[in-house]
Amino acid sequence: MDAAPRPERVLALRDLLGLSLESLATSAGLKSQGYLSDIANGIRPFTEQHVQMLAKAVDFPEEFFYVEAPGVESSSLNFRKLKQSKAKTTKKATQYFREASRIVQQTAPTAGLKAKSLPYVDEPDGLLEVEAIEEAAAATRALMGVDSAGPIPNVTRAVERLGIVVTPVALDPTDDEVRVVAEGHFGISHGDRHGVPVVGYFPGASPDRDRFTLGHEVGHVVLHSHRTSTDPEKEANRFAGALLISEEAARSLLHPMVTLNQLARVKAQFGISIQALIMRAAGLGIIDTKRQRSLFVQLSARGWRQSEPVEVEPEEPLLLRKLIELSLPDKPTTSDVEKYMALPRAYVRAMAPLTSKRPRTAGAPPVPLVRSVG
Amino acid sequence: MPQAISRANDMMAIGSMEPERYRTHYKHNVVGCTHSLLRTADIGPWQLDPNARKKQLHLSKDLWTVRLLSSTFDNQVPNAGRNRARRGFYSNPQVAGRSTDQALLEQHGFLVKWQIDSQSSEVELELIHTLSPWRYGYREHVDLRMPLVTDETDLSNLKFTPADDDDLDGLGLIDSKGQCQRGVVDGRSASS
Repeated sequence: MDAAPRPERVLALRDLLGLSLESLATSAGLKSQGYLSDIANGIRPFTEQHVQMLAKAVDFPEEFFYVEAPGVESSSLNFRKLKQSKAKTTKKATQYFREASRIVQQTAPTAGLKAKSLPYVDEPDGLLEVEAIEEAAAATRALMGVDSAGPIPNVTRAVERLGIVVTPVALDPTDDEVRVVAEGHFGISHGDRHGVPVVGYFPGASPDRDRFTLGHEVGHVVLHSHRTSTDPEKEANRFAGALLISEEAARSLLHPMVTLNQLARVKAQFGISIQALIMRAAGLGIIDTKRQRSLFVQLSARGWRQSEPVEVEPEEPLLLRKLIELSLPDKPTTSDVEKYMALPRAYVRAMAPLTSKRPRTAGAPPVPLVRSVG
Repeated sequence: MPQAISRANDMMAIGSMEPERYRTHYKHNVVGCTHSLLRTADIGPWQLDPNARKKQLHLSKDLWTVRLLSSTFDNQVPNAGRNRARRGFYSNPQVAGRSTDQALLEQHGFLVKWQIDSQSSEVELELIHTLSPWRYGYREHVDLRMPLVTDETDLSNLKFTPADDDDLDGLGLIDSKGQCQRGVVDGRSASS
Protein backbone atom coordinates (compact mmCIF):
# COMPACT_ATOMS: atom_id res chain seq x y z
CA MET A 1 0.00 0.00 0.00
CA ASP A 2 1.24 3.46 -0.88
CA ALA A 3 -0.07 5.52 2.03
CA ALA A 4 0.90 5.00 5.63
CA PRO A 5 -1.50 3.25 8.00
CA ARG A 6 -3.54 5.54 10.19
CA PRO A 7 -3.12 5.06 13.96
CA GLU A 8 -6.59 6.41 14.73
CA ARG A 9 -8.06 3.41 12.90
CA VAL A 10 -6.87 1.18 15.74
CA LEU A 11 -9.26 2.97 18.07
CA ALA A 12 -11.95 2.81 15.38
CA LEU A 13 -11.48 -0.95 15.24
CA ARG A 14 -11.63 -1.24 19.01
CA ASP A 15 -14.92 0.69 19.15
CA LEU A 16 -16.43 -1.07 16.16
CA LEU A 17 -15.80 -4.50 17.67
CA GLY A 18 -16.62 -3.42 21.21
CA LEU A 19 -13.29 -4.78 22.42
CA SER A 20 -10.66 -3.43 24.78
CA LEU A 21 -7.22 -2.52 23.49
CA GLU A 22 -5.90 -5.23 25.77
CA SER A 23 -7.91 -8.04 24.16
CA LEU A 24 -7.13 -6.63 20.72
CA ALA A 25 -3.42 -6.61 21.51
CA THR A 26 -3.60 -10.15 22.87
CA SER A 27 -5.44 -11.57 19.85
CA ALA A 28 -3.06 -9.81 17.45
CA GLY A 29 -0.03 -11.14 19.33
CA LEU A 30 1.22 -7.64 20.13
CA LYS A 31 3.33 -7.03 23.20
CA SER A 32 0.81 -5.35 25.49
CA GLN A 33 -2.17 -3.09 25.75
CA GLY A 34 0.22 -0.21 26.46
CA TYR A 35 2.15 -0.97 23.30
CA LEU A 36 -1.01 -0.88 21.17
CA SER A 37 -2.17 2.22 22.99
CA ASP A 38 1.09 3.94 22.08
CA ILE A 39 0.55 2.96 18.43
CA ALA A 40 -3.01 4.25 18.47
CA ASN A 41 -1.90 7.54 19.98
CA GLY A 42 0.96 8.02 17.53
CA ILE A 43 3.69 7.58 20.15
CA ARG A 44 5.06 4.47 18.46
CA PRO A 45 5.11 4.02 14.68
CA PHE A 46 2.23 2.07 13.14
CA THR A 47 3.88 -0.31 10.72
CA GLU A 48 2.66 -2.52 7.89
CA GLN A 49 3.50 -5.52 10.06
CA HIS A 50 1.22 -4.23 12.84
CA VAL A 51 -1.54 -3.83 10.27
CA GLN A 52 -1.13 -7.39 9.06
CA MET A 53 -1.21 -8.76 12.61
CA LEU A 54 -4.33 -6.80 13.56
CA ALA A 55 -6.15 -7.50 10.30
CA LYS A 56 -5.47 -11.22 10.57
CA ALA A 57 -6.57 -11.35 14.21
CA VAL A 58 -9.99 -9.83 13.55
CA ASP A 59 -10.41 -10.97 9.94
CA PHE A 60 -10.63 -7.43 8.60
CA PRO A 61 -9.17 -6.23 5.29
CA GLU A 62 -5.88 -4.38 5.71
CA GLU A 63 -7.41 -1.43 3.85
CA PHE A 64 -9.42 -0.68 6.99
CA PHE A 65 -6.26 0.75 8.58
CA TYR A 66 -5.33 2.90 5.58
CA VAL A 67 -8.65 4.42 4.70
CA GLU A 68 -9.25 8.06 5.45
CA ALA A 69 -12.22 8.31 7.77
CA PRO A 70 -13.70 11.79 8.05
CA GLY A 71 -14.19 12.68 11.66
CA VAL A 72 -17.82 12.56 12.65
CA GLU A 73 -17.60 13.60 16.26
CA SER A 74 -20.09 12.03 18.67
CA SER A 75 -21.54 15.42 19.56
CA SER A 76 -22.68 15.96 15.98
CA LEU A 77 -24.57 12.67 15.88
CA ASN A 78 -28.17 12.51 16.89
CA PHE A 79 -29.11 9.42 18.80
CA ARG A 80 -32.55 8.12 19.56
CA LYS A 81 -32.03 5.76 22.48
CA LEU A 82 -33.29 4.96 25.92
CA LYS A 83 -31.51 6.52 28.87
CA GLN A 84 -30.39 3.13 30.18
CA SER A 85 -28.56 2.22 26.95
CA LYS A 86 -25.13 0.80 27.65
CA ALA A 87 -22.26 3.18 26.96
CA LYS A 88 -20.27 0.41 25.27
CA THR A 89 -23.11 -0.34 22.86
CA THR A 90 -23.54 3.35 22.14
CA LYS A 91 -19.83 3.61 21.32
CA LYS A 92 -20.05 0.57 19.07
CA ALA A 93 -23.14 1.91 17.31
CA THR A 94 -21.47 5.28 16.84
CA GLN A 95 -18.41 3.73 15.20
CA TYR A 96 -20.52 1.42 13.05
CA PHE A 97 -22.49 4.43 11.89
CA ARG A 98 -19.29 6.39 11.19
CA GLU A 99 -18.11 3.53 8.96
CA ALA A 100 -21.45 3.48 7.15
CA SER A 101 -21.23 7.24 6.67
CA ARG A 102 -17.66 6.89 5.40
CA ILE A 103 -18.88 4.47 2.73
CA VAL A 104 -21.74 6.81 1.83
CA GLN A 105 -19.44 9.83 1.44
CA GLN A 106 -17.02 7.71 -0.59
CA THR A 107 -19.59 6.17 -2.97
CA ALA A 108 -22.10 9.01 -3.40
CA PRO A 109 -19.96 11.17 -5.75
CA THR A 110 -18.97 8.16 -7.88
CA ALA A 111 -22.60 7.11 -8.24
CA GLY A 112 -23.63 10.65 -9.13
CA LEU A 113 -25.96 11.14 -6.18
CA LYS A 114 -27.72 14.49 -6.29
CA ALA A 115 -29.57 15.15 -3.06
CA LYS A 116 -32.64 17.36 -2.93
CA SER A 117 -32.45 20.68 -1.21
CA LEU A 118 -33.95 19.92 2.18
CA PRO A 119 -36.10 22.44 4.07
CA TYR A 120 -33.47 22.98 6.77
CA VAL A 121 -34.65 25.08 9.67
CA ASP A 122 -32.33 28.02 10.29
CA GLU A 123 -34.09 29.50 13.31
CA PRO A 124 -31.94 30.70 16.21
CA ASP A 125 -30.79 28.18 18.81
CA GLY A 126 -33.25 27.27 21.55
CA LEU A 127 -36.63 25.60 21.47
CA LEU A 128 -38.64 25.75 18.26
CA GLU A 129 -42.28 26.78 18.20
CA VAL A 130 -44.49 23.79 17.37
CA GLU A 131 -45.79 25.67 14.33
CA ALA A 132 -42.25 25.82 12.93
CA ILE A 133 -41.88 22.05 13.38
CA GLU A 134 -45.24 21.41 11.71
CA GLU A 135 -44.20 23.65 8.81
CA ALA A 136 -40.87 21.87 8.41
CA ALA A 137 -42.60 18.47 8.41
CA ALA A 138 -45.19 19.70 5.89
CA ALA A 139 -42.40 21.04 3.66
CA THR A 140 -40.59 17.70 3.90
CA ARG A 141 -43.78 15.84 2.99
CA ALA A 142 -44.26 18.16 0.02
CA LEU A 143 -40.69 17.52 -1.10
CA MET A 144 -41.41 13.80 -0.85
CA GLY A 145 -44.36 14.35 -3.16
CA VAL A 146 -46.80 13.03 -0.59
CA ASP A 147 -50.42 14.18 -0.56
CA SER A 148 -51.00 16.71 2.24
CA ALA A 149 -53.52 14.48 4.03
CA GLY A 150 -52.45 11.02 2.94
CA PRO A 151 -50.13 8.43 4.44
CA ILE A 152 -46.50 8.04 3.35
CA PRO A 153 -46.68 4.76 1.43
CA ASN A 154 -43.03 3.85 2.06
CA VAL A 155 -41.14 6.09 4.47
CA THR A 156 -37.75 4.51 3.78
CA ARG A 157 -37.99 5.11 0.06
CA ALA A 158 -39.47 8.58 0.49
CA VAL A 159 -36.51 9.51 2.73
CA GLU A 160 -34.02 8.00 0.30
CA ARG A 161 -35.54 9.92 -2.61
CA LEU A 162 -34.67 13.09 -0.73
CA GLY A 163 -31.04 12.02 -1.00
CA ILE A 164 -30.78 10.92 2.63
CA VAL A 165 -29.12 7.52 2.91
CA VAL A 166 -30.83 5.00 5.21
CA THR A 167 -28.86 2.16 6.73
CA PRO A 168 -29.65 -0.52 9.29
CA VAL A 169 -27.21 -0.53 12.20
CA ALA A 170 -26.67 -4.24 12.88
CA LEU A 171 -23.62 -3.76 15.12
CA ASP A 172 -22.59 -7.39 14.93
CA PRO A 173 -23.32 -8.42 11.36
CA THR A 174 -22.04 -11.93 11.97
CA ASP A 175 -24.64 -12.64 14.65
CA ASP A 176 -28.27 -12.76 13.58
CA GLU A 177 -29.44 -13.05 17.15
CA VAL A 178 -28.22 -9.62 18.18
CA ARG A 179 -31.15 -7.54 19.34
CA VAL A 180 -29.74 -4.08 19.60
CA VAL A 181 -33.10 -2.50 20.22
CA ALA A 182 -33.42 -4.51 23.41
CA GLU A 183 -30.47 -2.48 24.63
CA GLY A 184 -32.40 0.69 24.08
CA HIS A 185 -31.23 2.07 20.74
CA PHE A 186 -33.57 3.14 18.00
CA GLY A 187 -31.84 5.46 15.56
CA ILE A 188 -28.81 7.62 14.77
CA SER A 189 -28.20 10.29 12.16
CA HIS A 190 -26.12 13.20 10.95
CA GLY A 191 -27.00 16.09 8.70
CA ASP A 192 -25.30 17.78 5.77
CA ARG A 193 -22.39 19.03 7.87
CA HIS A 194 -20.66 15.74 7.12
CA GLY A 195 -21.65 15.50 3.47
CA VAL A 196 -24.62 13.40 2.41
CA PRO A 197 -27.06 13.12 5.34
CA VAL A 198 -27.26 9.58 6.72
CA VAL A 199 -29.92 8.01 8.91
CA GLY A 200 -29.42 4.72 10.74
CA TYR A 201 -31.99 2.57 12.48
CA PHE A 202 -31.52 -0.47 14.65
CA PRO A 203 -33.21 -3.59 13.30
CA GLY A 204 -35.30 -5.60 15.70
CA ALA A 205 -37.95 -3.07 16.55
CA SER A 206 -41.45 -3.30 15.11
CA PRO A 207 -41.73 -1.86 11.58
CA ASP A 208 -44.09 0.88 12.76
CA ARG A 209 -41.40 1.93 15.22
CA ASP A 210 -38.83 1.85 12.41
CA ARG A 211 -41.03 4.19 10.38
CA PHE A 212 -41.28 6.53 13.36
CA THR A 213 -37.54 6.27 13.98
CA LEU A 214 -36.81 7.28 10.39
CA GLY A 215 -39.20 10.22 10.76
CA HIS A 216 -37.51 11.17 14.03
CA GLU A 217 -34.02 11.04 12.52
CA VAL A 218 -35.09 13.01 9.45
CA GLY A 219 -36.44 15.48 11.99
CA HIS A 220 -32.95 15.78 13.46
CA VAL A 221 -31.49 16.27 9.99
CA VAL A 222 -33.98 19.01 9.05
CA LEU A 223 -34.31 20.71 12.43
CA HIS A 224 -30.85 20.35 13.95
CA SER A 225 -28.30 20.42 11.15
CA HIS A 226 -28.09 24.21 11.15
CA ARG A 227 -29.06 25.06 14.71
CA THR A 228 -28.92 23.75 18.26
CA SER A 229 -32.02 22.95 20.26
CA THR A 230 -32.46 22.81 24.01
CA ASP A 231 -34.71 19.76 23.57
CA PRO A 232 -33.85 18.11 20.26
CA GLU A 233 -35.55 14.80 21.09
CA LYS A 234 -38.90 16.43 21.80
CA GLU A 235 -38.65 18.42 18.57
CA ALA A 236 -37.71 15.36 16.53
CA ASN A 237 -40.61 13.39 18.02
CA ARG A 238 -43.04 16.13 17.08
CA PHE A 239 -41.57 16.22 13.59
CA ALA A 240 -41.91 12.43 13.19
CA GLY A 241 -45.56 12.54 14.20
CA ALA A 242 -46.24 15.43 11.82
CA LEU A 243 -44.40 13.67 9.01
CA LEU A 244 -46.30 10.40 9.39
CA ILE A 245 -49.74 11.93 9.86
CA SER A 246 -50.22 15.54 8.82
CA GLU A 247 -52.18 17.96 10.97
CA GLU A 248 -54.90 18.01 8.34
CA ALA A 249 -55.29 14.22 8.42
CA ALA A 250 -55.03 14.04 12.21
CA ARG A 251 -57.74 16.66 12.71
CA SER A 252 -60.05 14.91 10.30
CA LEU A 253 -59.56 11.39 11.71
CA LEU A 254 -59.00 11.95 15.42
CA HIS A 255 -61.35 13.61 17.88
CA PRO A 256 -61.54 14.27 21.64
CA MET A 257 -63.20 10.93 22.44
CA VAL A 258 -61.21 8.87 19.96
CA THR A 259 -61.04 5.23 21.05
CA LEU A 260 -58.31 2.61 20.83
CA ASN A 261 -60.23 0.66 18.21
CA GLN A 262 -60.45 3.77 16.06
CA LEU A 263 -56.76 4.48 16.56
CA ALA A 264 -56.00 0.93 15.44
CA ARG A 265 -57.81 1.64 12.19
CA VAL A 266 -55.88 4.87 11.68
CA LYS A 267 -52.71 2.87 12.32
CA ALA A 268 -53.69 0.48 9.53
CA GLN A 269 -54.13 3.47 7.23
CA PHE A 270 -51.00 5.45 8.13
CA GLY A 271 -48.49 2.88 9.44
CA ILE A 272 -47.96 4.78 12.69
CA SER A 273 -48.24 3.11 16.09
CA ILE A 274 -51.26 3.64 18.33
CA GLN A 275 -48.99 5.08 21.03
CA ALA A 276 -47.54 7.60 18.58
CA LEU A 277 -51.07 8.48 17.46
CA ILE A 278 -52.10 9.19 21.05
CA MET A 279 -49.07 11.46 21.43
CA ARG A 280 -49.87 13.14 18.11
CA ALA A 281 -53.49 13.76 19.14
CA ALA A 282 -52.30 15.17 22.47
CA GLY A 283 -49.63 17.31 20.79
CA LEU A 284 -52.23 18.88 18.52
CA GLY A 285 -54.60 19.43 21.46
CA ILE A 286 -57.20 17.11 19.92
CA ILE A 287 -57.38 15.10 23.14
CA ASP A 288 -56.80 16.50 26.60
CA THR A 289 -54.37 15.17 29.21
CA LYS A 290 -57.12 13.22 30.94
CA ARG A 291 -58.08 11.41 27.75
CA GLN A 292 -54.43 10.81 26.89
CA ARG A 293 -53.88 9.22 30.31
CA SER A 294 -57.04 7.16 29.97
CA LEU A 295 -55.98 5.83 26.56
CA PHE A 296 -52.56 4.84 27.88
CA VAL A 297 -54.19 3.05 30.84
CA GLN A 298 -56.43 1.16 28.43
CA LEU A 299 -53.44 0.41 26.24
CA SER A 300 -51.65 -1.18 29.20
CA ALA A 301 -54.76 -3.04 30.33
CA ARG A 302 -55.12 -4.62 26.90
CA GLY A 303 -51.43 -5.52 26.77
CA TRP A 304 -50.99 -3.26 23.76
CA ARG A 305 -48.00 -1.37 25.14
CA GLN A 306 -45.88 -4.43 24.49
CA SER A 307 -47.70 -5.75 21.48
CA GLU A 308 -50.05 -3.54 19.51
CA PRO A 309 -52.62 -4.95 17.10
CA VAL A 310 -52.42 -4.15 13.37
CA GLU A 311 -49.38 -5.54 11.64
CA VAL A 312 -47.12 -3.09 9.84
CA GLU A 313 -44.94 -4.78 7.25
CA PRO A 314 -41.24 -3.89 7.19
CA GLU A 315 -39.60 -1.55 4.70
CA GLU A 316 -36.14 -2.02 3.30
CA PRO A 317 -33.48 0.52 2.39
CA LEU A 318 -32.09 0.47 -1.13
CA LEU A 319 -30.05 3.60 -1.81
CA LEU A 320 -26.79 2.63 -0.10
CA ARG A 321 -26.78 -0.69 -1.91
CA LYS A 322 -27.20 1.17 -5.21
CA LEU A 323 -24.40 3.57 -4.33
CA ILE A 324 -22.08 0.70 -3.54
CA GLU A 325 -23.02 -1.27 -6.64
CA LEU A 326 -22.42 1.76 -8.84
CA SER A 327 -19.04 2.40 -7.24
CA LEU A 328 -17.69 -1.11 -7.59
CA PRO A 329 -16.28 -2.66 -10.76
CA ASP A 330 -18.54 -5.02 -12.70
CA LYS A 331 -18.93 -8.45 -11.11
CA PRO A 332 -17.01 -7.60 -7.97
CA THR A 333 -15.40 -10.34 -5.94
CA THR A 334 -15.44 -10.45 -2.14
CA SER A 335 -11.91 -9.17 -2.24
CA ASP A 336 -13.00 -6.21 -4.43
CA VAL A 337 -15.80 -5.32 -2.02
CA GLU A 338 -13.54 -5.50 1.01
CA LYS A 339 -10.73 -3.60 -0.70
CA TYR A 340 -12.93 -0.75 -1.95
CA MET A 341 -15.09 -0.48 1.14
CA ALA A 342 -12.29 -1.24 3.62
CA LEU A 343 -14.60 -3.41 5.68
CA PRO A 344 -15.39 -7.13 5.85
CA ARG A 345 -18.07 -8.15 3.36
CA ALA A 346 -20.43 -9.10 6.23
CA TYR A 347 -20.42 -5.48 7.41
CA VAL A 348 -21.03 -4.11 3.93
CA ARG A 349 -23.92 -6.50 3.40
CA ALA A 350 -25.39 -5.61 6.78
CA MET A 351 -25.18 -1.89 6.01
CA ALA A 352 -26.64 -2.37 2.53
CA PRO A 353 -28.73 -5.55 2.72
CA LEU A 354 -30.42 -7.35 -0.11
CA THR A 355 -33.99 -6.19 -0.53
CA SER A 356 -37.23 -7.91 -1.48
CA LYS A 357 -38.31 -10.26 1.24
CA ARG A 358 -41.78 -9.63 -0.09
CA PRO A 359 -42.79 -11.09 -3.45
CA ARG A 360 -42.17 -8.50 -6.12
CA THR A 361 -44.85 -7.69 -8.57
CA ALA A 362 -42.53 -6.53 -11.31
CA GLY A 363 -39.06 -5.24 -12.00
CA ALA A 364 -35.72 -6.94 -12.09
CA PRO A 365 -34.85 -9.48 -9.39
CA PRO A 366 -32.37 -8.26 -6.78
CA VAL A 367 -28.76 -8.82 -7.67
CA PRO A 368 -26.42 -10.08 -4.94
CA LEU A 369 -23.76 -7.57 -3.96
CA VAL A 370 -21.08 -10.17 -4.56
CA ARG A 371 -21.83 -12.17 -7.64
CA SER A 372 -18.78 -14.37 -7.51
CA VAL A 373 -16.58 -15.08 -4.57
CA GLY A 374 -12.94 -14.63 -5.27
CA MET B 1 -70.73 7.51 16.29
CA PRO B 2 -67.66 8.16 18.50
CA GLN B 3 -67.25 11.44 16.64
CA ALA B 4 -70.84 12.28 17.50
CA ILE B 5 -70.05 11.47 21.12
CA SER B 6 -67.17 13.91 21.01
CA ARG B 7 -69.46 16.59 19.66
CA ALA B 8 -72.15 15.76 22.23
CA ASN B 9 -69.53 16.03 24.98
CA ASP B 10 -68.55 19.46 23.68
CA MET B 11 -72.20 20.53 23.70
CA MET B 12 -72.64 19.32 27.27
CA ALA B 13 -69.46 21.10 28.31
CA ILE B 14 -70.69 24.38 26.81
CA GLY B 15 -73.86 24.04 28.85
CA SER B 16 -71.90 23.02 31.98
CA MET B 17 -74.00 19.85 32.07
CA GLU B 18 -72.44 16.63 33.30
CA PRO B 19 -73.47 13.71 31.06
CA GLU B 20 -73.94 11.47 34.11
CA ARG B 21 -76.39 13.92 35.66
CA TYR B 22 -78.19 14.97 32.45
CA ARG B 23 -78.24 11.51 30.95
CA THR B 24 -81.34 11.94 28.75
CA HIS B 25 -80.14 15.24 27.31
CA TYR B 26 -76.78 13.69 26.64
CA LYS B 27 -78.31 10.75 24.76
CA HIS B 28 -80.45 13.12 22.70
CA ASN B 29 -77.34 15.11 21.85
CA VAL B 30 -75.47 11.95 20.80
CA VAL B 31 -78.39 10.89 18.60
CA GLY B 32 -78.75 14.37 17.12
CA CYS B 33 -75.04 14.64 16.37
CA THR B 34 -74.99 11.14 14.86
CA HIS B 35 -77.98 12.04 12.68
CA SER B 36 -76.23 15.17 11.52
CA LEU B 37 -73.02 13.31 10.69
CA LEU B 38 -74.85 10.45 8.94
CA ARG B 39 -76.61 12.91 6.66
CA THR B 40 -73.36 13.59 4.88
CA ALA B 41 -71.49 10.34 5.53
CA ASP B 42 -71.15 7.56 2.98
CA ILE B 43 -73.31 4.78 4.40
CA GLY B 44 -73.34 2.62 1.31
CA PRO B 45 -76.71 1.21 0.27
CA TRP B 46 -78.35 2.28 3.52
CA GLN B 47 -80.53 5.37 3.72
CA LEU B 48 -81.10 7.60 6.68
CA ASP B 49 -84.62 8.85 7.24
CA PRO B 50 -84.06 12.61 7.35
CA ASN B 51 -87.55 13.26 8.69
CA ALA B 52 -87.66 10.72 11.51
CA ARG B 53 -89.39 12.05 14.60
CA LYS B 54 -86.97 13.81 16.96
CA LYS B 55 -84.28 13.01 14.38
CA GLN B 56 -84.12 9.46 15.60
CA LEU B 57 -81.75 7.15 13.80
CA HIS B 58 -83.83 5.20 11.33
CA LEU B 59 -81.97 3.53 8.51
CA SER B 60 -83.36 1.45 5.72
CA LYS B 61 -82.16 -0.76 2.91
CA ASP B 62 -84.63 -2.44 0.60
CA LEU B 63 -87.06 -4.35 2.83
CA TRP B 64 -85.05 -3.93 6.02
CA THR B 65 -85.24 -1.09 8.47
CA VAL B 66 -82.98 -0.49 11.44
CA ARG B 67 -83.66 1.76 14.41
CA LEU B 68 -80.83 2.70 16.73
CA LEU B 69 -81.95 2.92 20.33
CA SER B 70 -79.93 3.71 23.40
CA SER B 71 -79.61 1.00 25.98
CA THR B 72 -81.74 1.10 29.11
CA PHE B 73 -80.00 1.64 32.45
CA ASP B 74 -80.10 -2.15 33.10
CA ASN B 75 -78.88 -3.06 29.60
CA GLN B 76 -82.26 -4.44 28.52
CA VAL B 77 -83.83 -4.11 25.08
CA PRO B 78 -85.99 -0.98 25.12
CA ASN B 79 -89.69 -1.80 25.33
CA ALA B 80 -91.97 -0.94 22.40
CA GLY B 81 -94.37 0.97 24.65
CA ARG B 82 -97.87 1.85 23.47
CA ASN B 83 -97.06 3.64 20.24
CA ARG B 84 -98.79 1.60 17.52
CA ALA B 85 -96.24 2.29 14.81
CA ARG B 86 -93.48 1.22 17.14
CA ARG B 87 -95.38 -1.91 18.16
CA GLY B 88 -95.75 -2.71 14.48
CA PHE B 89 -92.02 -2.24 13.98
CA TYR B 90 -91.38 -4.74 16.79
CA SER B 91 -93.57 -7.38 15.07
CA ASN B 92 -91.52 -9.44 12.66
CA PRO B 93 -91.48 -12.92 11.16
CA GLN B 94 -88.83 -15.18 12.64
CA VAL B 95 -85.36 -15.12 11.02
CA ALA B 96 -83.35 -17.39 13.29
CA GLY B 97 -83.40 -20.97 12.11
CA ARG B 98 -84.68 -20.10 8.65
CA SER B 99 -82.73 -19.82 5.44
CA THR B 100 -81.08 -16.47 4.75
CA ASP B 101 -82.65 -16.26 1.28
CA GLN B 102 -86.13 -16.33 2.78
CA ALA B 103 -85.33 -13.56 5.25
CA LEU B 104 -83.96 -11.38 2.47
CA LEU B 105 -87.32 -11.38 0.71
CA GLU B 106 -89.30 -10.29 3.76
CA GLN B 107 -89.77 -6.99 5.46
CA HIS B 108 -87.94 -6.85 8.78
CA GLY B 109 -87.41 -4.30 11.47
CA PHE B 110 -84.17 -4.58 13.41
CA LEU B 111 -83.07 -2.75 16.50
CA VAL B 112 -79.50 -1.74 17.11
CA LYS B 113 -79.02 -0.98 20.76
CA TRP B 114 -76.13 1.31 21.58
CA GLN B 115 -74.34 2.21 24.77
CA ILE B 116 -71.08 3.88 25.63
CA ASP B 117 -68.51 1.98 27.66
CA SER B 118 -67.61 4.30 30.49
CA GLN B 119 -63.96 3.17 30.59
CA SER B 120 -62.95 3.04 26.95
CA SER B 121 -65.62 5.35 25.48
CA GLU B 122 -66.08 2.70 22.80
CA VAL B 123 -69.61 2.48 21.44
CA GLU B 124 -71.04 -0.98 21.96
CA LEU B 125 -73.63 -2.00 19.41
CA GLU B 126 -75.98 -4.93 19.60
CA LEU B 127 -78.24 -6.16 16.80
CA ILE B 128 -81.66 -7.33 17.97
CA HIS B 129 -84.49 -8.87 16.00
CA THR B 130 -87.82 -8.73 17.83
CA LEU B 131 -90.79 -11.00 17.12
CA SER B 132 -93.48 -9.03 18.90
CA PRO B 133 -93.84 -6.39 21.60
CA TRP B 134 -93.83 -7.52 25.23
CA ARG B 135 -95.11 -6.10 28.43
CA TYR B 136 -92.66 -4.01 30.39
CA GLY B 137 -90.88 -6.13 32.95
CA TYR B 138 -91.58 -9.37 31.10
CA ARG B 139 -89.27 -11.54 29.02
CA GLU B 140 -88.25 -9.99 25.69
CA HIS B 141 -89.67 -11.57 22.52
CA VAL B 142 -86.56 -11.75 20.41
CA ASP B 143 -85.02 -14.45 18.25
CA LEU B 144 -81.70 -12.76 17.54
CA ARG B 145 -79.38 -10.76 19.75
CA MET B 146 -75.76 -10.36 18.73
CA PRO B 147 -72.99 -7.84 19.42
CA LEU B 148 -71.79 -5.79 16.47
CA VAL B 149 -68.80 -4.28 18.21
CA THR B 150 -65.44 -4.69 16.57
CA ASP B 151 -63.40 -7.02 18.69
CA GLU B 152 -59.65 -7.47 18.78
CA THR B 153 -59.84 -10.40 16.38
CA ASP B 154 -61.08 -8.01 13.72
CA LEU B 155 -58.24 -5.62 14.52
CA SER B 156 -55.67 -8.37 14.19
CA ASN B 157 -56.73 -8.74 10.56
CA LEU B 158 -55.81 -5.14 9.87
CA LYS B 159 -52.46 -4.51 8.27
CA PHE B 160 -50.37 -1.68 6.86
CA THR B 161 -48.39 -2.75 3.83
CA PRO B 162 -45.82 -0.25 2.56
CA ALA B 163 -45.70 0.37 -1.15
CA ASP B 164 -43.44 -1.98 -3.08
CA ASP B 165 -41.26 0.81 -4.35
CA ASP B 166 -37.69 0.68 -5.64
CA ASP B 167 -37.80 3.99 -7.45
CA LEU B 168 -34.76 6.15 -6.78
CA ASP B 169 -35.29 8.25 -9.84
CA GLY B 170 -34.42 11.91 -9.50
CA LEU B 171 -31.24 11.29 -7.54
CA GLY B 172 -29.06 11.36 -10.62
CA LEU B 173 -27.71 7.85 -10.08
CA ILE B 174 -25.86 6.59 -13.12
CA ASP B 175 -24.74 3.09 -13.94
CA SER B 176 -21.46 2.03 -15.49
CA LYS B 177 -22.89 2.69 -18.97
CA GLY B 178 -23.75 6.23 -17.98
CA GLN B 179 -27.47 5.51 -17.91
CA CYS B 180 -29.86 6.80 -15.29
CA GLN B 181 -31.26 4.30 -12.82
CA ARG B 182 -35.00 3.97 -12.92
CA GLY B 183 -37.09 1.91 -10.54
CA VAL B 184 -40.49 0.38 -10.14
CA VAL B 185 -43.34 1.43 -7.84
CA ASP B 186 -46.01 -1.17 -7.09
CA GLY B 187 -45.28 -2.96 -10.33
CA ARG B 188 -45.35 0.14 -12.51
CA SER B 189 -42.35 1.87 -14.03
CA ALA B 190 -41.48 5.02 -12.17
CA SER B 191 -42.07 8.24 -14.05
CA SER B 192 -39.39 10.85 -14.30
